[in-house]
Amino acid sequence: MTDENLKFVIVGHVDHGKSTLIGRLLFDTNSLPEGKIEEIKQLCESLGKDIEFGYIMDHLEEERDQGITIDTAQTFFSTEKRDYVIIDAPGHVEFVKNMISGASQAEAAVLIVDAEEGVKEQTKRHAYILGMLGLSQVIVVINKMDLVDFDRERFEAVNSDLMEFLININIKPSYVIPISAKNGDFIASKTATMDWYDGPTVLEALDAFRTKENANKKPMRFVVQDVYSFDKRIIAGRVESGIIRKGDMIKVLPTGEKTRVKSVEEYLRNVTEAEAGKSVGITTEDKLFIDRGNVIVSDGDMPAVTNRIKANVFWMDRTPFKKGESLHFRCATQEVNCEIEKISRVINSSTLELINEDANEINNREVASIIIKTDKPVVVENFNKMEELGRFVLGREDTCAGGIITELE
Amino acid sequence: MSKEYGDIKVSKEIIKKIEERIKDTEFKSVDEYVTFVLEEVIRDEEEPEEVFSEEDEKKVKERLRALGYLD
Amino acid sequence: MIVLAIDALEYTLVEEFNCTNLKQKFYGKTNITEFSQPRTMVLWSSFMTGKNMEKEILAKGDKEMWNTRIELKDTFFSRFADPKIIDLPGFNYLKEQHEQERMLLKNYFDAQNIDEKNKIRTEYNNLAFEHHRKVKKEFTETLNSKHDFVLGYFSVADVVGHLNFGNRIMMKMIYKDLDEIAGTIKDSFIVLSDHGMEKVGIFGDHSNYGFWSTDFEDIGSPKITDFARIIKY
Repeated sequence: MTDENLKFVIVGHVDHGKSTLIGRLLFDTNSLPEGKIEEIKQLCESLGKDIEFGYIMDHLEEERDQGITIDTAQTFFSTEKRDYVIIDAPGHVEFVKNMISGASQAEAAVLIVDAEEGVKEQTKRHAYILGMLGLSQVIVVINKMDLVDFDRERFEAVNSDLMEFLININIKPSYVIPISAKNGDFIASKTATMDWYDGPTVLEALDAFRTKENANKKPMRFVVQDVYSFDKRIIAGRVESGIIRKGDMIKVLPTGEKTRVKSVEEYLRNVTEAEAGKSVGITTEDKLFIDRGNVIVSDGDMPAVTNRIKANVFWMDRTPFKKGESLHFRCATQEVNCEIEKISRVINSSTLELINEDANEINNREVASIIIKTDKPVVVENFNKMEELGRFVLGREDTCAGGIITELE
Repeated sequence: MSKEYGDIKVSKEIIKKIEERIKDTEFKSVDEYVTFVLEEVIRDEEEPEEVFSEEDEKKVKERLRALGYLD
Repeated sequence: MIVLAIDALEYTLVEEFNCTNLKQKFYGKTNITEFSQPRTMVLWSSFMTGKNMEKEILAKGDKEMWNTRIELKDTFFSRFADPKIIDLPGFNYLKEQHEQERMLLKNYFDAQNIDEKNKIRTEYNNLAFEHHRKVKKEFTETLNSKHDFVLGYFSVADVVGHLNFGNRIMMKMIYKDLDEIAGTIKDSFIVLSDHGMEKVGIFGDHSNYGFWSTDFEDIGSPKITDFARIIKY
């Protein structure tokens, strides 16, 4: 196995089969913890039966009813290609909060719809949240095909219904797969029940997802923390992405001035380069005005330097935000003041219901799509392109909200 | 659990303490916190006891004797 | 006519585990309050004769009671031309099998430490499950034959329940299995238990009502002695 693990989330209406799908993914990849199924195995043997998925699901549901959950925050399984982590789905307040503050990030999502019931309100809300949270890798599974006799027409009808909505919120699923999580059709294996479908199984589709690009391969971004003058002028900061090397041509943002890296300084070590994640000092050939909050980049792929940002935020403070209030905006080491020019939509993070459009306030635990105007230009990226400069916080004395940047002007 | 609700009385003092306690937590209201606590307590009592209990054993032994299984 | 006689089948668990095949169209509790205790031998003997047999059975004493063998002519089975009864207490109960179960039960309670108890319990469960597999097989084969009355008696819920009723997973698997067996019966049938079971820690005690179900009539809260009349040729 060469690839790193991929974290994904399963979302959709609560009755459309999420737990069965999770159970099936674990069962079909032999990833259920041995202890969990040992008892069931033995009981099946005692009763003269073969172990069946249905008994496992019963057991898992029984444990869940008694408060022993299998899939609290994270569930693990593996295919031949890589390891997977299923993260608890939206509707759970912690998930939304963690997602935005970057604590545990899903890189992909599976949206589940019941073939018999079709697209429901909750299906749409969850899809919407995927868009809001910057999850662009999505596969759709249309589940419970066994209840509609594996009918192609029904599949196409539900698919069409869902696509109409997804197109409107700019989500393009890489696959739409008909499945029966209960019977195991097209989860790990192709079965004869739907010979009209020639796409991948769920596991094949997951294997096709990209994991996050290695931070070193991304364009170089060096965020300045401090400037020291000893015998030489040392610019101290953190390499957020890419690699900074001695001799590189660099640009200082937001001013745009250019120079070359004269040396890379690490305490007590002789180095000529520093990778993503490292905190180092550099010296430059030209003496430019550089300050804390500046972002040094390699000449080439440029981030945005702007004072108008479209973003999604999760408000985490008990004191609500009211339009007109000035806040601190912090992204990497940049700190400026800002105002929220517009609050386009406000959503309840646990029910995912729309609370308000074109609102004047955001309350605790609400998610909002907003337009931020900073009082000075900042160096930022679209979250999907680069998280390190796409994530920010808003605050008063303390942090009040975490956010991700969705669009730049 | 059923979605119908009944009323329960709790002293204002306790309510105040709960309000303080839930301030920086995920609980949105006193109702939510109280329900959570009670559910935990009830669940504890309903949990199947895999733990060996001498008292239970004694009781069942007597019953099985009365039913003719043991002499 | 087919009777699925399940010892200790508990009404509340049939509902909780949603055993739709066991529930059939109509189901409910039986009334066994006329008996001083819900004793297996007494209840099934009363079922097959249509009379309260408590006095007669108890007079034999605890040991001999288990060897009761009521003659065919004294039961309502004699109404049928070719009845087949599997392992019914008081009629053709498999003496050795159930004696062994009772012996292990006694050993369990006599054992002094937990490890020994667990060992005995595993042996006890294995014995009960092995017998259950045999009865299942015999019952399935009998269903395919031409008898005009078939009664399959299943003791697994009672035997295993006594020492494991608190193990919900185990009980659920057993109930689901019994439900599956009911699901294989194509003709009209009745499900009946002598009594139910209630939890005492990890153990199970007999409850004071049985379970019944039919697909043809709501029979309310029948006595166990009523079935001799209800089951018609």
